[in-house]
Parts: sequence; C-alpha cells; structure tokens
Amino acid sequence: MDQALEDIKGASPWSDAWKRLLKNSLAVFGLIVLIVMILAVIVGPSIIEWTTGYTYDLVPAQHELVKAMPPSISHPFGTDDLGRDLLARVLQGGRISLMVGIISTFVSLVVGVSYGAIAGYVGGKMDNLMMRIVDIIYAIPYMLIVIVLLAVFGGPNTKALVTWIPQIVAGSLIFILGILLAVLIYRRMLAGFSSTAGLATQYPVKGLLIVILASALLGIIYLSSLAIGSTSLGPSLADWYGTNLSQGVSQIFLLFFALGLVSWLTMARVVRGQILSLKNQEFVIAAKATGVSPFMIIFRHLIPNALGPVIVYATLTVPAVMLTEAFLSYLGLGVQAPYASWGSLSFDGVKNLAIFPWQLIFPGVTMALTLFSLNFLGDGIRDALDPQTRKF
Amino acid sequence: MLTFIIRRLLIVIPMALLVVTVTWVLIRIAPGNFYSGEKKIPAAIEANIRKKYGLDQPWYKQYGMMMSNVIRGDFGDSLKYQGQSVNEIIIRHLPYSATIGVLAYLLALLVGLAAGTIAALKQNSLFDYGSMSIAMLGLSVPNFVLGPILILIFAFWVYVLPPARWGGISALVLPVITLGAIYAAYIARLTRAGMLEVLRSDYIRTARAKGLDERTVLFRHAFRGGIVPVVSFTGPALAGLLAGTVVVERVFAIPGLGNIFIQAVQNRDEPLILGIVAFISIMILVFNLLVDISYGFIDPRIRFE
Amino acid sequence: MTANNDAILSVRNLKTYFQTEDGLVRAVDGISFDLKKGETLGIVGESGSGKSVTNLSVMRLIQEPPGKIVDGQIEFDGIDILKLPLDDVRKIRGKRIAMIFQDPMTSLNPFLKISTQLMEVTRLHLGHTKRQAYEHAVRMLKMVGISDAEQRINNYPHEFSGGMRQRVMIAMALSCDPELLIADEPTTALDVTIQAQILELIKDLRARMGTSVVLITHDLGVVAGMTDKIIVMYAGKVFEQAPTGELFAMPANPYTIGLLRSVPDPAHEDGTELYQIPGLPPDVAHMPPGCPFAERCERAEDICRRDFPPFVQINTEHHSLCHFALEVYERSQKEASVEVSG
Repeated sequence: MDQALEDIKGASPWSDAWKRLLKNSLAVFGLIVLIVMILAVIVGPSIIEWTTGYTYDLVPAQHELVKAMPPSISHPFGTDDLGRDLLARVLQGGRISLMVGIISTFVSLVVGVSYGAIAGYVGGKMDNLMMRIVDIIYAIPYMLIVIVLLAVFGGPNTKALVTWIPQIVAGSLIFILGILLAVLIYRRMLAGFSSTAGLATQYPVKGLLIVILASALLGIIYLSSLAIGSTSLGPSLADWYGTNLSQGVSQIFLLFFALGLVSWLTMARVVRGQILSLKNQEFVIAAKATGVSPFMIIFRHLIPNALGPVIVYATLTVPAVMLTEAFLSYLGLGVQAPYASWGSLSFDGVKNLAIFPWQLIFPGVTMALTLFSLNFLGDGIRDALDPQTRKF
Repeated sequence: MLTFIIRRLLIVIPMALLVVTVTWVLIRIAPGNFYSGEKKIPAAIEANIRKKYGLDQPWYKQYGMMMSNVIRGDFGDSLKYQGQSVNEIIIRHLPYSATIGVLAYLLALLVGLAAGTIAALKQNSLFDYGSMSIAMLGLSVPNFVLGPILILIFAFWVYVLPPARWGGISALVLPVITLGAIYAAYIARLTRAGMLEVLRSDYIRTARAKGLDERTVLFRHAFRGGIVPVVSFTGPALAGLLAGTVVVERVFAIPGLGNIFIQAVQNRDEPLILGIVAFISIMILVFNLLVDISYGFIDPRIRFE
Repeated sequence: MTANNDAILSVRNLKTYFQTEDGLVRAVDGISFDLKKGETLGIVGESGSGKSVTNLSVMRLIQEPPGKIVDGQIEFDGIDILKLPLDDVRKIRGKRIAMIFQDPMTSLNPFLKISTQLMEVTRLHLGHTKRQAYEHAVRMLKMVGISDAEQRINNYPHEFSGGMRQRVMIAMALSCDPELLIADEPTTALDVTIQAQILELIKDLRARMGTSVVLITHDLGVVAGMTDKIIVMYAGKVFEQAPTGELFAMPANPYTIGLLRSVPDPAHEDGTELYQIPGLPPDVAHMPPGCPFAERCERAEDICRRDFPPFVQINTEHHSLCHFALEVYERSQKEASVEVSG
C-alpha cells in the first residue's frame, strides 16, 4: 500500500512525459536529427574552413576556382556558380535559419505568454478588449504587410528604420504601461463599487490621482524618447548599426521583427484559454484565499500549469517561422547576399535547376529534414504531455 | 443571423481601410520612392509628375485623397504601367491566381479528407502510418523546393508535363499540386485528429448500439463533428494560400496577382500595392466571415449573437 | 453450468482484455451469469470494476484494438453472439438488445435533430417509411413523458435538459420494443430528483413491455428497489451473486459488506461516521496473485494474499468469491436474525 503511494508520488508529470517521449521512436528520431543538425551548424563551418580553407563566402587563393562542380570528396555538396563550397554555405545558412526560428519563437513566447496570461487572469471587459485587439491583428493579411515592410525597409533603407528604434521601444513601453494602468483603474473601480461607503470617498480621489500621475509618466517617457530619438540617439544608433553591422545581418534583425510581429498572436490565444480554465480551479482559489499576490498567482501557479500547451505550440512555431523565413528569403526579401539561408540557397539553386540540380537538392533536402524532425518532435511532445490523445 | 452578417460586413470595411493605412504609412515613412529607382528623371519632369499625383501636398492631404479614392474603389493608375488603371490590372491577373488557388484547395480537401478519414478509421494500420508520414513530409517540404523538384522529375527527366507558363490543363497540374500539397497534409492531419476524437465519443457508441452500419455511423454521425477543425482551418489556409501563390507563380512563371504584387512592391508602385492589398484584405475578411457562418450550419449549438 | 433454457441472456466465462501501454488489463476476467426473461439484473461495482465492459461485450461494442474478447460465450435467446458475423450482430443491436448510457449529455449526437436520431432506428430495423418513423418517434417521446412531443422532436439535443435527454435516450432505446434493455448507469449524471423519475420510468416501462433489464450502477440504493438479482463485481471478477433480498440481508463477501456499510442509512442515523472501504482498487494491469481485494479486506489472512479465492456456492442462487465465504455468510445470517429479533 505504502509502496503504491510512493510510486504514484514518484512519477512527476514531467518525468512521465519524458518517458513517454522516449518511447515514441519518431520523436526520438527527430530529436537526434535536430541535435546533430545544431552541432553541425555550430562547428561545421569552422571545421571546413580549418581543413580546406573554404568559408561560406570565400574561395581560398590556393585553390583553383571550380564553378558549379558536382558533389565530390573535396566538396560533398558540390560548389555553386561562384565556386564557393556548397556544404559550407548550407551549414552557414542553417545557422541563420535555425537562429531565426528559435529567436522569433522566443520573442513570440515572451510577448504571447505575458499578454495571454494577463488577459486571461484579469478577465471581464479588459480580457474582451485585449482579445478583440488580437482578433483585429489576426484578420490582417500580415504576409502582405510583411512583404511590403521587408521590401521598403530592406537593403539600404534598414538604417532609416533603425532611427526609429527609440520611438518603437518607447511606444511598446507605453503600450504595456497603458495596459497595466487600465488594469489598475479597473481594479480600483471594482473595489470602489464593491464597498458602497468607499464609492463616494475613496474611488474618485485616489483613482483620479493615479490616472493623472500615470498619464504624466507616460507623457514624459514619450516626449523624452522623441527628443532623444530626433536629436542624438536614433541617428547615432543607426550610424553605429550601419557601420558596424553589414547589410545581410541588419536584414536578419528586420526579419526577427517582422516574424515576431505575427507569431505571438496564436500563443496569446492558447495561453489565455489555458489560464481561463485554470484560474477557477481550487488550487488557485486557495492561493488567492491565502493572500498570494496576483503577480505570484500568474507566474507561480497559472503559467507553470499552462506550460504544456505552450511548449507544444512553441515547438510547432519553430518550423512554421523557419518556413516563413525561407519563403521570404526565397522571394529575395529575407537574408541578403553574401549571407545565405536555406531559403535563399534554394532560390539560387532553382535558377540552375536543369543543369545543376544538386544546388537545389542539398539545401532543400537539408531544410526539409530539419523541419520534418521539428514537426515530429513537436507531435511527440504533444502526445507525451497530453496522455488523452495517446494512441490507444 | 442576418444582423450578425451585416455587423460583420460592417467591420470588414474599416478593417480593410486599416490595412491600407498601415501599408501606406510603411511605404511613406521609408526613404525613397518610385522615382528614386532605376534611371534618373530630370528634376522638372519629376516635379510635374509629383504635382499630377498630388505628391507635393502635405501628408495629411495626400492621405485624405488616397483614402477617399480607396473608399470609392478607385485606386488610380499604376505608376509603372502607364495608362493602366489598378483595377484593370487586378482583374486581368486575378484569374490565374484564383484558378490555381481554388483548384489547389479543392485538391487538398479531397485528398486530405479522404486520407484523414481512412487513417482515423484504421488507426495504427499501415495506411495510417504511411499517409501520416507522407503528410508530415508534405508539411516539411517548402513549396519552392517541391515545385522545382516536380519540374525536374516530370518536365526534365520524364517529359510528360510542361515546366512552366500558362496554357492548357497540363500546365496546371504541377502548380496546383505544388500549392495544394501542404494544405492536403494539414487537412489530413486535422481530419484524422478530429475524426479520432469523434469516433471515441459517446454518441458514436450510441449510434453503433442502435445497430447502424459503419458507413452510416461514419457519414451521418461522425463526419460533421470530425471536420469542424478543418472548417476552422479554412480561414488561415486561405491567407496561406495567397502567400503560397506568390511563390508558385514565381516558380512556374505564371502572370498571377502574386507575381504582380511582388513586382509592384519592388518597383514601389504605390497605387498598385494599395489596390492589391485592399482587394486581398477584403477577400480574406469576407472568406473568414463565410467560414464563421458555415460553423452555424455544421454545429447547431453555435448561435449568432 | 449449462445455458438455461428460459434465460434470455446467458454469459459464460467471459474474458475481455485490453492491451494498454502499462500492460494487459484484464477488465473482465471470467464472468458468468444468467438473466431470465422478464427479470431485472443489477450489476454493482466501483468504477473500473468491469461492469460496463461486460455489457459492451454483450453488444460486441468493444473497440478492437485495444480491447478484445479473448474467451467465453454469450448466448442471447439461444444465439451465440460472439460467433455471429458482425452484420448479424447489427441486426440485434438496437432491435432486440438496446442500451442506455450513463451521460445523456454526450450520448446523443449534438449535430443531429432528435427526430433524425429517433427515426433512423425504426427505419433501419422495422422498415418504417419516413412518415411511419416520424409518427412512431412522436409516440415514443410521449410515452417517456415528453409532453409537447410534436414540437420537441425537431429540437437538437442541446435544447433539452439532462433528464429530458435521458428520456429521449430511453425512447430511442425502446422504439423497437427490445427483449433486453441494458441501462449503463442511467442516472449517475442526473440530479437526485430526476434520478428517481428516470428509475420510475424504466420500472414502469419494463412492467408494461415485459422487457428484461440489466441495470449497471455503482449505487446500491438504485438497485435495491429495482432488481430481482444482483451481481457484485470487483477488478473484473464476480465477487458475489445473489437474489436482491438475500444479498442485502445476508451478504457472504467482505467486499459486499463494505459496500453496504458505505451506503448512508437514514434509519441508523446516530452520528456514527460513514464507513469507507480503506485503500484504492488495485492496478488492473498489475494484479496481485491472491485475492484482488485482500489489501483492503478486514478479514484477509495470509492465504488471501497467496492464493486466488474459490467461487463458493452458498445455496442454489447465492455464490461468493472468498476463502471465508461460508464464515462470512453465517456471521451476517446471525446479525440479520439479531436485527429481526432485536
């Protein structure tokens, strides 16, 4: 009997899930491929440079220029039109593709989880408003806007966009502060209405004071950011950015921005749904009753319990974002030469499809294999975390 | 129901205007414009053109003019294609994109629903594992890789289908497959998951306990509930399909709307960009509305407030 | 034991196993019972004891895989159901054997009108035309006490309350005038007041139509006034089998005694705490070698943990699965007589 209880206690949901994941051979396959791919992408380019002298962009002088050579021992993936080693380029492209996937997903995680958790926890009118905003952004054909954004601000114009960074930062800060302020006022009003005596005295004075103070704070932040942006910080940032970072890299940051812009929406919805269903459960009510602060309730009780779907969705966001990046790079809007991503390499490959098919096949298959593994892993994690959907 | 539709339709217009505004702002705050590209035009001529298009006015007047034009459905003439109105260009190039898009989604529905349903019915069978692995492959191979590989195989190695361009049904095969593959994969997975959930539900057990044969159980009792996820996927799918046509049109050199849009963006052809953005936004919003309405027909529990 | 001739349903040594990730689960492990025409049989047990699986096996409704009926014989009116091709089983389902399920909220198809769901049964089994089926459906709804049946028939399930839905389920189950009705926890998901109404309805209809009934429940209170015979199940086995009166008065199995003591008894309301059987039901995938109830049993000795208990026959109709069946029986006999005399 005691033994049985021990067993029940010993199997935490996470170790249980991990065991189930390891039983799923496809997910394990995905995990292994992914680890190998990440290692190859991290150390591969250096090894190639060290042994042969080739980099993603450089044909070493001691070598004869061999343009568009088919795969061979010295160049396992062949070479491209300019005689560059395709393996080195594919690995370098993998760095960028994976980085874009992971960083953008991380951005969407941070924004989406906070937004969704606040909306779900606060509930009521606030929740309604916040979710309406998500709905509206959701309905926008974002791909068109991303294409326009990347096209008009891509290339030399990126510098102009950098000038705006102080304002953008201030803007998002004000956005977050605004939400917090609204929450605060809303709470105040609720507190004011719940006690009839407090309605007349407490609410108008204190509430008004908070509103005035907060709006003043917002105004100061915004004006100072404008001042800094227009006088020194913005342009100097742009100069620094323009001179220190090459064109290709700045375009990548634009990509993070564009992709992060769109992928947090679903995350926010997922988290909100979870929080809504969790917040009325006994353990949260118990925490509230014992006087735990809302902040602690959200971050210690609610988010950890909503983590399952979040992890699952994040794992599936990575391949989706990578696909979008590849798609934009394929259109010439993403990563710029001399850098490469799997998308832009595929585009280069398509140009010579009939004559040098390996130039498409190697980057294309590498990318497909990675996405394949990510998808399988994501599926595996979902099945492992949600035993109800297990294949019975 | 009717008030629901009207209310939603009323939202469509401001939403489309919002999208147009965002696009316009993006184009305007970026340095450079249509005339800063390619060859230099003499300053006097540029000034003349600027005047003609109202570009010498302050920004708010320009915005007002642009908006009033957009509301009237008149986007003016393209800057690049002199003398052609934006509406003409859209109408001329739309059929290509629409044909491929509609055929691709129909193909995806047909293949996806069939494969997903069979896989759910024969869970853990060879067909289940096989079709779901193929679906996973479909999700993982980008269409700009799939398209060229199909061209390579069917046009260059076995000469059965034309590699590119428009003309005849045979020219449609490869683009439609390329565009539809990923949606077929999605739909197959959604259908399988939805069907599995429904097939496990109590009311399916009731239907079986009544002595109904498997076909009636499947088509009368299970199918409706099982395809709900597919219906909700139609909205995002449409948006994705539009993005997909951009690539597919490029790979197969088809003069569709996507190709024109990319060109317009690269040329900074402002009226054309705004026209296409407004048109596509409205289309997506209306389709989303149709999807929401069709929910009501599938699931009687949904009420339109 | 041979199949009884006047038995409508006779189950012999039924074994239904499930293959799960944790191993083989013997959900039903060698169950036998008979049900005579017109009789009502109660099957009682905690959740997971295999009572629902037994009856799904009778209908051949076990999902395969993971489940499988590995052994046994189920004779319905002289037909061996397990040997029948599935097409012939379908002709019995809904027509000769009908079933009511636990949760009326999920057992009706939310996407279809009540009329569709009612009419398809009679159109299939009785060959009704659309019109006949519709009229029959309205009649059935009226019979189960839905007053404005003509209007309500065109509603969807979500427009009914829980009790009303269960009435619709009963109407559906009885529309082909079945010889056997299996009611799987028909009242568990309902309010107490509605529970009584539904039970009353089943009782009334059984009397009127002469249907044999198998009533599955975890609630001893439900079976007490409804059944002729009771089977107590635990961990896939029959623990005790007896006529209703005898089982309540003179139980011969410690598990049954535990169950009876855990029913709140208003007659003995003297502030004593309600009894609770200690511990949890065993993990069905990893059964101990001895008696599955040994770990929770007050009477258990070493032999119980070592050897599987025998199925002891106490009298012609009373059996108990226990090493000490006779001893337990005698003790409850004594207690019963003390109670009567005292």
